[in-house]
Amino acid sequence: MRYAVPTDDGETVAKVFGRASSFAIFDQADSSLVVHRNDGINAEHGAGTGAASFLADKGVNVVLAPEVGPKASAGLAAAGIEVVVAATGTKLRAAIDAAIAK
Amino acid sequence: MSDAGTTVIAVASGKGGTGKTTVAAHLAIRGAREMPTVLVDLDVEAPDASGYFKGVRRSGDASEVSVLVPRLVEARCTGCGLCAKACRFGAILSIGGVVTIDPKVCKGCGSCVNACPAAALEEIPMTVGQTSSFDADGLAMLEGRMAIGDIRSTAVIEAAKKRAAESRAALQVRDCPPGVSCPATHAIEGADYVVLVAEPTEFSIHDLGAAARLARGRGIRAGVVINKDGFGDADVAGFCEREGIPVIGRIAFERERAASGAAAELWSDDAAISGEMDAILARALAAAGARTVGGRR
Amino acid sequence: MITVCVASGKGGAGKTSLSAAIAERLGPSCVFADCDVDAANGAIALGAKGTRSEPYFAGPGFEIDPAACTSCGACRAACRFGAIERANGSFRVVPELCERCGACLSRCPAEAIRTYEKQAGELLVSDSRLGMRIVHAELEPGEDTSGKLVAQVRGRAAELAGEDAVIVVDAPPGIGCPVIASITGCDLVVVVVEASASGVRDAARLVELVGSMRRRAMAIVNKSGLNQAMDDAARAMLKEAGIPVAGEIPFDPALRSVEESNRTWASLDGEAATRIRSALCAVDGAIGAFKEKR
Repeated sequence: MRYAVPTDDGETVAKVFGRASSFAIFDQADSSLVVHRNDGINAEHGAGTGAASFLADKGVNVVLAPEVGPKASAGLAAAGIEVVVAATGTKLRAAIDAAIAK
Repeated sequence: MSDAGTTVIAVASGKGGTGKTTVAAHLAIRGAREMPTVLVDLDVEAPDASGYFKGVRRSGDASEVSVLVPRLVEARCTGCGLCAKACRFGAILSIGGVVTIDPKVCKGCGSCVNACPAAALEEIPMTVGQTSSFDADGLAMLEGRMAIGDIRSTAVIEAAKKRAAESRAALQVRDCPPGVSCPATHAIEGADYVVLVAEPTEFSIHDLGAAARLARGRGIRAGVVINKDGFGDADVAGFCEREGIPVIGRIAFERERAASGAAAELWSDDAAISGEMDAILARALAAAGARTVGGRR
Repeated sequence: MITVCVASGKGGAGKTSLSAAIAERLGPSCVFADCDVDAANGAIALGAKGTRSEPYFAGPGFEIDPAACTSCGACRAACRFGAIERANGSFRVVPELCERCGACLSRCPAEAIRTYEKQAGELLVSDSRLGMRIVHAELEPGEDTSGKLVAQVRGRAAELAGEDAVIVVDAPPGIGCPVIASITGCDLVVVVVEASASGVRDAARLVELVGSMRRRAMAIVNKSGLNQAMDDAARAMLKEAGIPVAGEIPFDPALRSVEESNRTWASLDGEAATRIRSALCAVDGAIGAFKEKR
């Protein structure tokens, strides 16, 4: 399973999803955690949709975020990506471990 | 003149709440006494001009306004994703070759269809609003109304403008959306003259400058009506003089006028207002190069 | 850092007046993020001065190269927004009407259309006469407030705000992309409900959005006392949505004249002022509760 977490500082969960600076993607298969810059920040409209598309391309199965806007929500649903709530400020690994445990 | 014999006056404001719709309604009423006139409500997100009239009756049918949104022809789709790349509004997702379209977000521009190499996108109309015509206490009125929650105002405004042109009135008074963003620019486009309604506040002056620049940029003459004159201290007239925009009318602030305005009532019994509106209309028509109020067709 | 977003669903509800008043109460340490770009009233009410600006780019603009253009008119036919006009034997994109969709470029057989970095407006940072910083923006005619612009205004505000600062976001009207971008990641949304038919209806849609984004919210009912049925409708809608009411402000024509006399609603006298103060107090309390939690 691949988990994605929006992050601005590279260490904790961001406040937002679609326009977060980066996405940290954790692959359960090899326990790797890679941070990808979110280019969607520059999109005038539909950053949420773009983010969903980007993460789907990376094979993400679950998104951990404090909230997800309506466009992002629709995009993630279309991509079959599940959304699990994770509080802003939580350390990335802690959020991911908590989601895996569920 | 925009069209054989039609003069189009757009009433705009830069800022909401200055009394633009009130002024537009009165100008149309005064104009109708002299020539075939139609009041066109282009504030499509919340058209409220009809609220000023007691007897509003539908005349003619409401016409649906739609934009063309894409629909996938699955059999022909190769999953190349070029449609998603072409869309600048985030309305198309292509994930693992599967295309999903969000028609609510689609602007109807057709770029995706242009981009598809497999002719796998067809276009179907999606309703975004409607245009209606009314008889409002004897005045011909036309209204564009955008569907609640929709944001595709351009299509509704353009449809209302087109329908207004078909009415062949001698005078078209457009009630425009406030501001200078997309909807306002489309509402003003094609007008022979813009009446900018301002009030004596700093806010209004700030927005008035932007509106005047817009009109100038589109090569349309403009003049300012100072509404609620005396209500505030800001020097609208001074601003207009510095910017080279003529002041074509002043409506003094009076409590009763404010109360009526808030309740969307006309200043019908106010002779001073009628006189001022006639003067404003005459100046606007003269500047637009039309025959003046009282002239013969 | 705590972010409070003031939104209303509908323009003219009193949202900006209230957000400016909230900022005044919070004092010089707060940062005011005026995301209601079409109506620059927040910045004006707070007396913005000493403005520093930087260009804001929304997205590419489109222009036709007259030298390469063969005047076939395919672009004009392709444009569904009436943004291409004839010019000097060729064609020209009208920037004020262009929706920047790119359909013209995709249809031009002569490759005569290219994109350019179109400046859509300016991102501005000013100082308020009340001491706080104001982040705001101005747009070129024809340009719309977008999620991107809101994100940039908020981003700059976050950069300026200290650890303990409160950011007050004045959201644009409506419930579209820019409003979503205003609400996202906020600790508290203050919903301003105008006690009128359209006010209640638009606020209801906003309340639904706020709920779906799981944001904490409280409401202020404005312009009450004009119409009993509307007042009741507002209260009922908020009750049904489970949103606490911080206060109700009566309709008072005098409140409008405040705006241009360089004062905010926080510094008024009179009946309406008392109600305003008590509503602001409740908002303060909610913000204070957040601070304690950190």
